[in-house]
Amino acid sequence: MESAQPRDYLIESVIDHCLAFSDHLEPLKYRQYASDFPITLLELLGRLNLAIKKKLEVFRCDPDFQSLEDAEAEEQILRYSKLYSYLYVAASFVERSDVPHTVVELVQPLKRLMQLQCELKDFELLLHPLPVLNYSFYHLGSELSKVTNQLDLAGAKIDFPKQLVTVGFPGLEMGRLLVHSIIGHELGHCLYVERKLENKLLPLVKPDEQKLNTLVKELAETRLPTVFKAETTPTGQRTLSEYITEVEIKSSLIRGINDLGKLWVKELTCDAIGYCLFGPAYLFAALNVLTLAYAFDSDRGTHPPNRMRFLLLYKILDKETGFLSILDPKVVKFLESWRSVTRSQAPQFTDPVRDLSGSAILNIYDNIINTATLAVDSAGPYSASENTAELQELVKRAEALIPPNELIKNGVSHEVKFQSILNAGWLVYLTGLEAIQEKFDFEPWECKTKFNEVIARAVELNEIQRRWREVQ
Amino acid sequence: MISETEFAELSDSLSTGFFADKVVIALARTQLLGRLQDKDRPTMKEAEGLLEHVLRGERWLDKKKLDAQSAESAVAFDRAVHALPRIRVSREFVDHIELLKQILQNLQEKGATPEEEIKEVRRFFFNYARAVSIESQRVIERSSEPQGVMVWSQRNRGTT
Repeated sequence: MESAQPRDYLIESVIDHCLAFSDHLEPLKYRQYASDFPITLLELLGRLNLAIKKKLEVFRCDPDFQSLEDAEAEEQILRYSKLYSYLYVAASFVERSDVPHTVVELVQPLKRLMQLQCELKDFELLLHPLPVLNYSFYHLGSELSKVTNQLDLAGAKIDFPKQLVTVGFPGLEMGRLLVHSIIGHELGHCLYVERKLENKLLPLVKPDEQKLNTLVKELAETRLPTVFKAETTPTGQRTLSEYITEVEIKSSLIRGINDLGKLWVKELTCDAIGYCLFGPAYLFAALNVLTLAYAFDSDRGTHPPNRMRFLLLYKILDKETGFLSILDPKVVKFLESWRSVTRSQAPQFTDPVRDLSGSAILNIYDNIINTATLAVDSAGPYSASENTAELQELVKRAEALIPPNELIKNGVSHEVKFQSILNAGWLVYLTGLEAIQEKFDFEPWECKTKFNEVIARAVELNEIQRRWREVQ
Repeated sequence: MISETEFAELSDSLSTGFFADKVVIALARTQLLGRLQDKDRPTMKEAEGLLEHVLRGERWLDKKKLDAQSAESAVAFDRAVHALPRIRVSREFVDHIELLKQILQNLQEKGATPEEEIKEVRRFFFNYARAVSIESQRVIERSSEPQGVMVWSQRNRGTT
């Protein structure tokens, strides 16, 4: 390279990022995916990459850009470099959603559920493994649009579908289909945004005004630890606001309360939507995943403590009287044991901001449930109580390791609901699988694995059956 | 591995950063040409809107009502505080933001305003862009840490 100015050198380096990204995308187009959509997405990312490259090339001779101070120009170029970290993450979702890495049986049924039942006609889904034992939701289309809309790409129209979502699942547990019922929560995130549920629910959260006023006052007056006294005024008294500015304390507090309220209401509503979409299978999966992912009363993360989440889910379960009446005693015992843990004490919060937000959110559980119920739309929520007959028949098939994908009446096959397969699967799974183990001479883990495979086959056959009916 | 919250944080800090960069470029152009260009008017309008968000965030304790907008305003307020590190008290902070807002309004109405005033607004948006860059950087560095490594809690980690 010829003697370039530092800013030209930086631009050149980011253009190298563009070229490397282009090389990275190319081979991904030749992989096999569970739907056509990843190819479309790769093309969009490729076009975006080209448009960014053009823009960076223009920077070199753009008088406005060249008139920036060095620090300003550096700041702007570095942002493009950060953008490539971001785009690389986005491409990695596609990269890991190809057939060998995804739960291929679930992609079409979940798309169908969201496109037809929930009426999100442009809904697209990528399922990809994560290197951790947890699930994640990325509103990829909407996030990419938010960033590209600010780029001013000189006429290049690159529209990422807003309803494109990617869901990460624990790669280690790819074969545990029943546990993937927790994906109902991740789909809930999509509905939460699309239906603008935040606008309905957040204004209902009312933090205790008196507590909040006291907190603000106390924070401003809080004394610094005595170790700082030596270097202070003759009185030796310094308030926290002399150390961290008053306006910083105020902005941290305001952002803290707003962020937490926003996040926790969203997560709880997604739990309620997960239940509405999948029925009790969602609660069973949550009891499996969440109790291991987070300590029961941990309130330190972006999610509310499990105790708050299960208080909500049991509130919904208790409306399923018909379903509760058909349960095997072992399943009843399982549910009761966690109910008693959940109700053993009121949720406790570890700091005043969490206490203010959490306590206020506990008061709007009925609103959350009603809002979630309406959000799943035309077909209404899946009701296990209305499908008890179907569930009981499917349980019998699953117990015999026959994929529970259909009901046979008078020699004729009848399609069942996708969610009924998951619920029937859980009802058998929670009885302990000992009978199946004995009957087929399986080891315990082998039995769990085989059983999940049977459920996966049922989901797949159910989808084939539904498609066959649709094309006839 | 990047979590869902971090991915959303990164989207937000990048898009806000690109917006602030756009404001800086538009102001640089205004300085260079001596007048606000028509193509920059929408950007100035949005910049004024951001300052309004900042003020709304600062006033949140007056009403204490949560909604989608209040969360956005709270984030804008917090970022603006980081963009003005020398300002220590609320009154001074509010006065400064109102002054910047007034400059932007004058610029839109008259098409020009003294160079010193443009520089003041430009400095604020540069610092604002830098504050969100730090947020982006934090997410990028955090997500590249090996799983299981303790991440000390840091200021400004909230989602937007």
